[in-house]
Amino acid sequence: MTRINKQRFLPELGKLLTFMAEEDRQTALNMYSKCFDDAEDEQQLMDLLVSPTRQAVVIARSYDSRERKHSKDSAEEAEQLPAFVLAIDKIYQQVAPHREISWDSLRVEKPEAAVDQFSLFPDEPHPIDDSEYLPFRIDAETVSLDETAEDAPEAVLPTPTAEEAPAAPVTEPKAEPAEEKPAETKPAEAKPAEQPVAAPKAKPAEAKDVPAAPKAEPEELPVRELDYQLLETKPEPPQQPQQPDFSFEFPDLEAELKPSVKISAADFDLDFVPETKEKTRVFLLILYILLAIPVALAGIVLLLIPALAALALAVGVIVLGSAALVAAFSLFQQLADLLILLGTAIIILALGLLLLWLFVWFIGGAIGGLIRGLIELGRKWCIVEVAA
Amino acid sequence: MSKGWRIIGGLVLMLVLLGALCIGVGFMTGGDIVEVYTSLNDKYQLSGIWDRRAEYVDWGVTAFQNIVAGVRGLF
Repeated sequence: MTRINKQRFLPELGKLLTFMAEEDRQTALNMYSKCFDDAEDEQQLMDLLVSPTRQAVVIARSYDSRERKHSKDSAEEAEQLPAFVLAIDKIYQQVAPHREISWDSLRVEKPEAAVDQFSLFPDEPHPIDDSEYLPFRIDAETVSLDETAEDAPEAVLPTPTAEEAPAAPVTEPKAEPAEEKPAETKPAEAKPAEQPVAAPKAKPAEAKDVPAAPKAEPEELPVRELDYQLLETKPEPPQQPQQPDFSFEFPDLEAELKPSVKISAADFDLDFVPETKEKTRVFLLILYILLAIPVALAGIVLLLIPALAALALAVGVIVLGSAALVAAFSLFQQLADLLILLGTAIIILALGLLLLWLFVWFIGGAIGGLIRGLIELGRKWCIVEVAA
Repeated sequence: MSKGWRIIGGLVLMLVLLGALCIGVGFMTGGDIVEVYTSLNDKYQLSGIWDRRAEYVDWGVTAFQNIVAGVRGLF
């Protein structure tokens, strides 16, 4: 029963923890796996865990990606237990009180990555910006070379070998023969000009096991040519850490929610309006009225002038148009002349109509808008809404 | 107000187009603007009105000044 739950729990939790750094995610999954393995009461463990979604929320609350990134950079903070580890350890202590979980044994270290590797997390200033940074600099204190490497001409090359850079991704067929048959690499230092160096580095194990294979035959290359090839060979990029799984499947939250906590639209009072009370600033209102009345009067007078002018023009133009219309039907006997004067009269009446509308707009729109605007401004400045 | 502008603008445009159509048809059917002006001048003495335009302007200016003086008298 526990095995089935564990097999279902951990993959689903792993999908939900993609917001974490990869090594932290693996650490968390290892700790949960340890909880399942050491749990004395499996039912108690499942009651504590509830669901992968619940645990993802627990970890998300205690996980700070910026802090974790910063702690990895500084050695002092790296020794402190992260908050999410403490959260999982709390569960572990409840299900396995007689045991103790070892953080160091479950800790997953981040593999060495290239300095220019893209990171999803905010980073310190890029090391390339540092003027002291050298991309192929080899620190003699940190890199230990054995006698073979020191003596061999290949040791000065930046190309990583099995002995020089253990963390670098060197293929296993190269590393194994170097350990199993060191004598074959030594001829390079003893007789660098005569012994073929490529023979032990190519695939000697395969050549030994399957001597009939044509590719396993060692190439007869002098040392000089081999050095040239090594210089031209670009160093392989460091082995990338396992890509985090960004695929996310939405958990079935509806199934996990209990019916008692379901929220329906009926639970909300949509007609709820907070009661407020308008409070008038009397002194400010008096001041505003004293200022607003002269301003309103001046504005009305200024707007009345074009309004009355538009009215006068409209009346004159409409009278003129009407006279032309009457004259068109009373004076002319020929249809052609009648049409000319009729068209003129219609255009004049249209202009009169436009001027009349302009007067209406001045009165109703401009002057009315001025008064409404002053009232709204006074309401906005002098009346405030306070909670009832 | 914007709706009023749209309605009045549309109506005015239609009237102007209709008037232009009438004038165009009148010219195409043999209408003569000189004859029309002559008829109107005989009826309304248009040339006399034009000759006395200065008097009308002075009348208008005097009326405006009287209105302004009346408004000042209110205050």
